[in-house]
Amino acid sequence: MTNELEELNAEDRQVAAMLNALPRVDAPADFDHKVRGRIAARRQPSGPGWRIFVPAFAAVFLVALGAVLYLGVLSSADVTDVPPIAEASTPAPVSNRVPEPSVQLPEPTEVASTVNEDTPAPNDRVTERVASPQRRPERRPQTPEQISEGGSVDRAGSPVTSNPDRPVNSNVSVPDMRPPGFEGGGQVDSSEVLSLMGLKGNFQADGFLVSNAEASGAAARAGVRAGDVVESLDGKRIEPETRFASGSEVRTISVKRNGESMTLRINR
Amino acid sequence: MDKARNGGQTAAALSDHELAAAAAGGDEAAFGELMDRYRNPITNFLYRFLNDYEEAVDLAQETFVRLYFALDRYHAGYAFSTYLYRIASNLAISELRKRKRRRLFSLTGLFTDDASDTAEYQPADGRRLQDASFDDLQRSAAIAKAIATLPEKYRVPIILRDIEEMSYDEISQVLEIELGTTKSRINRARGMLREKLDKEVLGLK
Repeated sequence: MTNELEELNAEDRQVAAMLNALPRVDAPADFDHKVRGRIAARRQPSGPGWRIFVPAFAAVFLVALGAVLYLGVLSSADVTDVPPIAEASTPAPVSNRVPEPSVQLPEPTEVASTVNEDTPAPNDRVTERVASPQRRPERRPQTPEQISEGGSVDRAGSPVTSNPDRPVNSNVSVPDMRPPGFEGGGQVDSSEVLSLMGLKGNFQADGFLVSNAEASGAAARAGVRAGDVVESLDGKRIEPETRFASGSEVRTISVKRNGESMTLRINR
Repeated sequence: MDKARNGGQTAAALSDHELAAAAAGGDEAAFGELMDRYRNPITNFLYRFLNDYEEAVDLAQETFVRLYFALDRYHAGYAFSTYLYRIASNLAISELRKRKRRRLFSLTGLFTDDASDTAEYQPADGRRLQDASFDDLQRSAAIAKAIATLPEKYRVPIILRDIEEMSYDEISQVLEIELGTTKSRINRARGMLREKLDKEVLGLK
C-alpha cells in the first residue's frame, strides 16, 4: 500500500494523509446485541403471511370503523337530535296541555303511514288530520273540522267511553315536537309521552317507575299513582328507546302495582 | 485448518472464510467473531460516507443482518471483507438516495438538511479526540464535510482507499468496476477534495 502511495504527487499524498488522519469512530457497545435482536426479529415472523395480513387487517379494520362511524352518524341524527329539543320544550307543553281541551298536534303527511302501522289503536283522526298538517294546536278546538272529527272518533268505536260532562279533557296524544323548519322525524320518545300524561319518574328494567303522578294529568285521572310501574301504552312496551308516532292517541296504560299488572283506560 | 477448528482452537485464529463457513452452518460464535473483526471498520466507513453517526451505526447493524441471512450464498471467491463492504456501500448508497428523495419532498429540509448533514459527529466518550486541538477538530469537520459533498461514485472508493486503506484491487471488487476505473475515480476524488479544501484546510498548514 505504501508503494502505491509513492506514485502520487505531493498534493494527492497530502490529501490522502489528511483523510487517513481523520479520527475513527467505533461501533457502540450494544452493537452486537442490536444486530442479534434484528436478526431474531426478522427470523420470527418468517413467511410472507405476516407482511400481507397486517395491512389486510388494518384495511378491514378501517373499513369497519368507517362503516360504524357512518351508521353512528345516521342513527345519532335520528336519536340524539330529537330528545334535547323535546326536553327543552317539555315544561311548556305540559303546563299548556292540562288546562287545554285538546293537545293533539298536527303532523305532516309522511307520518300518516307510520302512525297506522305503529300504533295498535289507529283511528280515523290520524288520517283525517293529515289533510291539514300546518294547523296550530291552539286553534284546533275552534275549527269546525275539529268538531266533526270528535264525532268520527266515536263512530270508530273507540273502547274509551267518552264522558259528555267533560267534553274538554286532557286527551293525551303524542305531540309533534319538531321545531319549526325541522323536516324529518315525526316521532317522540316515551319519556316525552309520559311527561305529557303528567307522570314523573325513572326508567328501570321492567318499565317506568312513577315517582309522581300529577293530579290533573291524564294518567292520574286514569288511576295511575306514584309507585306504579308503567309497562306499556296501548300495548306498546315502555322503554327509553320506545318511540311513538306524533299525533297518535294513547288510550290505555298498563301498569304494575304491587307486582300485579293492570290496564287502565284513559278517560277523555 | 479443519483440524484446528475441531480441536477447539479459538475463533480468533480462524480466517474470515472459515468463520463465514462456520456461521453459515449455524455457529453463532463464529458470527460473533466476524462482528468483532468488522463492526468498527464498517461503522467508520459508513460514518465517513454519511457523515452521520446514528445512521452509520444503524446501517452497519443492517449490514451484519444482511450478511447473516446471505451467509449461505456467500462463497469464498473473493475476500470476505470485500463482500461485507459491498453490502455496506450498497446500503449506504440507497440510504443516500432516500435522503435525496426526502429532501425533494420536504420543504423544511431545504433549510435544515444541509446543516445537519454536515454536522461533525462528536463521539460521546471522545477518547480519540480528547487531545486534539480545536484547530484539528475544525479541520476534521471541514474534511468530513468535503467528503460528504463528493458524488457517491467518488465518495465510496476514496473512503475505502484513504480511510479504510484497501488496495485498488479490493476496491474494484467491492464496486465491481475495472481496476483502471477505480484508480481514476480515486484520483478524481482526491483532486475534488483538494479543490474543496484548498482555501480553508490546506491553507492552515
